[in-house]
Amino acid sequence: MKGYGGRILEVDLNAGAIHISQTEPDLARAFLGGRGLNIKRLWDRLPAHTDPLSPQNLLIFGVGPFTGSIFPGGARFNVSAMSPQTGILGDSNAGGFFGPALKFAGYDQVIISGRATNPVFLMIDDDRVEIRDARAHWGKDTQETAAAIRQEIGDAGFEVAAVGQGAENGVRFAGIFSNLVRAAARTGMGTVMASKKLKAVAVRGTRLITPADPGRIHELLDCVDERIHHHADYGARSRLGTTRLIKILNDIGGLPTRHFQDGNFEAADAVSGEAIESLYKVKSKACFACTVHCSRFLRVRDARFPGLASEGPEYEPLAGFTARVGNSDLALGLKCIDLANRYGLDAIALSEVIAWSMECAERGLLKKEEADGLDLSWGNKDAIIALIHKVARREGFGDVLADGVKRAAEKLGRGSEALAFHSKGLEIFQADLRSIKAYGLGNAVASRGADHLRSEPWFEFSNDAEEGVRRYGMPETAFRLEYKGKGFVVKHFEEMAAVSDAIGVCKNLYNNMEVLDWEETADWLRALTGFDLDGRDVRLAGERIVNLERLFIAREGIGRKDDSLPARFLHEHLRANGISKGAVLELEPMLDEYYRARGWDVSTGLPGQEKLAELGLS
Amino acid sequence: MLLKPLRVNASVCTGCRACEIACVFRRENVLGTSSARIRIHKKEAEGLDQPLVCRLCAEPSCIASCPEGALSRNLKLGTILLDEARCTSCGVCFSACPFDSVSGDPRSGKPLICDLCGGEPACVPRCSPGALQVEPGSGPHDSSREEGS
Repeated sequence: MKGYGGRILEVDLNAGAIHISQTEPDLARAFLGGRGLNIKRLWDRLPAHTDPLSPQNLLIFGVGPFTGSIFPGGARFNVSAMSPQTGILGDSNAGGFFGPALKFAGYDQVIISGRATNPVFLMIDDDRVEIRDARAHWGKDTQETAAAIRQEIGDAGFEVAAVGQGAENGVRFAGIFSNLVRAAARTGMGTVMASKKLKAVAVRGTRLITPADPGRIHELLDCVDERIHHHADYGARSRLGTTRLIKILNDIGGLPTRHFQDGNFEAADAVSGEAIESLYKVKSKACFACTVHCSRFLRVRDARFPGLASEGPEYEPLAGFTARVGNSDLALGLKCIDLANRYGLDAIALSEVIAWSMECAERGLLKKEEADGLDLSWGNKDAIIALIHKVARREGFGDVLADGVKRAAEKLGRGSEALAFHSKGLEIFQADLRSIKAYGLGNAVASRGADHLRSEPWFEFSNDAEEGVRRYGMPETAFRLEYKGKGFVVKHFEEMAAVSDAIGVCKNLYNNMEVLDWEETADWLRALTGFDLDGRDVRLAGERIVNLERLFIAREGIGRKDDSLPARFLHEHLRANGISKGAVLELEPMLDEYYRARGWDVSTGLPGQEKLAELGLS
Repeated sequence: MLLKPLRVNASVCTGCRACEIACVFRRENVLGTSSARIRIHKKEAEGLDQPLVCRLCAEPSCIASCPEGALSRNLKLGTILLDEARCTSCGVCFSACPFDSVSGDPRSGKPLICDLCGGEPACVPRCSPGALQVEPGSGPHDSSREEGS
């Protein structure tokens, strides 16, 4: 099968059984791979209301035709399961080198079921697959685990995706980490993995993937290189990565300062990507075959944190452990991120539960003695560090926070639920949704709960009214504070995000930099896979994935009533300098427009038979 | 014209391994890294990424080590040539190379040695930070001039 690994690996940890089958070409064509093939598999095999932490849950790793393909940013893998954090679709995506290694081992998916009696890790060495004892590795952090497994196998060429102590201890927002910091962190996929007593997957692939038309790939690669290197964002992205957003969002009044109480952060410059570059950056780093090299290796020279050195960070953890918790100490923020990576926790959820605690304390909803005597003043360094350890170990108040902000607020009560910033149980990211309204809508309707990476509708930053008319028929779509037309923008970008996650490409390139349009994506897919696809087929695959995910979460009871956001974003006027000041999110009319754009029932927010038939899902 | 080895600046290598897949794709029209003639040796936790590639030594240890006489120098280009018929896949040349720049093909066991694609290396244009550069000129190169290694 051209352009694919060609095989599906199934591992039943109950029986210790391993089964390898061929990837189905018709499914690959319809769902492309990665996130698309994963949701298809979950839909077909996972009964409704499956207990996420039961052996019956499936944990699926998937890669796509672009993964390991030489396409810049074709480095991604996708992990899917029923989520223990939200009770709906669990789905997370990461870069680095693990995905390409899995592809080169000849697999498009690894489907893991059951639960081992004792801790194990899965070793995949091309055709050789073994379930190996991991009792000696249980209790180690994500980075220690990778090093120890490479040492045990005796080959540093293995890529290791592991869970840390957070997942072992049942923190509901634990992820799967590889290459130090490459995190499939959202929706608790690490928690599912640890519930199966699976500590890590180690993979080495030496196979060579045959593309359908190598000559065409050489030509297309030249075009995409040109597109990347001439993109207006290239310079800043290749120097700073997403950390450039600290200053950008501060300028527009969109930072999540002190738990979204202020859109500006007085210490933004001190904790910015530019500050990291000047103080700590050693050099740029990159995922597999990526020419944007948006990551960085850092050495933090600070006597309080001896030996602190790592890769990254992304904007999300950086803003989370600075602005969101009111911390202006950059080195401390980087230390927090390093702890989150090592414990294997989702930095968005972790920073939210800490910021929520701080706001609850500020408003008198949480007493000091209920929080283990911690002084939860904004930016209190000792309290922030202490809470990270407590959450990862489920100690004291950390045991409450380890269930995520929705459950923690339900436990505390006293109105703290209104301050729990999540949608569908997944914590909201690091930008104020009132200042960027397409992102607001995207967070409300995202199939895995509040999240920006299901759509990443950057276009509303463009201020290009003419292009807004050309694309969506409305000039307002090009302006972040307008709400009209954003239903169409989000639909479009959701389909791009779905395709990006399915083919295995980084969204920084595919969604934000728009390095390929639908027809160009189809051109690449034809050259890689030989499938007879055009741009319309590619877009339809994206729409098919979005709709099938909607069916999956509808089966768990999700509908329009759940496409909601916390009251702060809908009713409290944004406190910020400049034009964002006073903004609120007009969610209801945006939802109406979005469902209409999707061809879904406006009252239920669900696709009908006609739409499903159009997508081949009926 | 005798080729000079690639100019390598490990201090800016991002560790992305685009060079490896570019090498394999140019030579074999397939996608993968295991038969690459350039490799990135990584120490992930220390942020070290070292491109390993033939340095066209003046007195190549690989040639001297081969018990079958399967390795020789291409007198026109200065690169190392493999006589596949003579090679027994014994692997002696892998450890003979003082720069760890000879690896074995996982399928055939035969050595993989960079030949600079005859003068226009496929890896160089895919190296966006410029860690790999072509150094035009003639004559075997003095490997002590490498930067950042």
